[in-house]
Amino acid sequence: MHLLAVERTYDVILVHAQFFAGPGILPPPYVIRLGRDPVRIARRRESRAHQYVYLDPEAGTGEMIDAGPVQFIWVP
Amino acid sequence: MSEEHYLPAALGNFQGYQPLLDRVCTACNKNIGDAVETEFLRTGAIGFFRWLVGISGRDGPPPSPFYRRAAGMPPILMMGRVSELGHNLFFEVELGTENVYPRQVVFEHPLWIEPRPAPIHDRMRERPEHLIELLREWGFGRGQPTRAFAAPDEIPWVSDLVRNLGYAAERASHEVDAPPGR
Repeated sequence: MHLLAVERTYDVILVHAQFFAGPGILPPPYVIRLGRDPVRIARRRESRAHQYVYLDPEAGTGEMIDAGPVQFIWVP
Repeated sequence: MSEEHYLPAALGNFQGYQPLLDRVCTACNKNIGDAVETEFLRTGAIGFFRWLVGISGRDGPPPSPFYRRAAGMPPILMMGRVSELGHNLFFEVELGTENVYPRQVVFEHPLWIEPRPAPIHDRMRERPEHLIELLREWGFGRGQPTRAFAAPDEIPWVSDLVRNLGYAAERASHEVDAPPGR
């Protein structure tokens, strides 16, 4: 499973990415700084996330599922 | 403008995934793809996990990250202790399956506490000097090869490679183990 999450504030747009997470495996996440939001008027902080789950790993196919921040709690 | 795959197709095809449209120009997309994607997909943790899970790219399965350099990065080395032998060896993951011994030569030296393995990469087949350089960098000095691991079809050229280094062929190849086919 891959996880992609983005948070956008007036100062910065940050992407958090974690690839090949799965049972017993929590690879270190990447943090990618895309830059600042080009809008001229500040707006409230936004965040969105999706998980990309392999349903058939051998074929490399799966499904993209919404992963709102509330679902983003990992129990080790 | 071009179609931007923010999650590269080499990481899988996911139902519901939508590429980014009309946001990245063709030149930037191509340049970033050429400069970053190969390194991202075929080296380090991502290269390792892609190989472990067995995810193919558009051109089929990727080359083994345990043998092939990519984007200037050396192949992955994964070392572990083999209790039956009493020393370390390199391991590799067969595409999507299990751990096996990769192609390597084990050297011994009277002053070393235990034998040391040296990996044999694909490029050393044509360019033996790469192995010489690696042995020099790793301080193998006057160590002697005592054991080699290679798939059956690779044994002749691995034996030749060791012989070309100036070692006696019978010492280099007297004990060759064959892991499952690659």
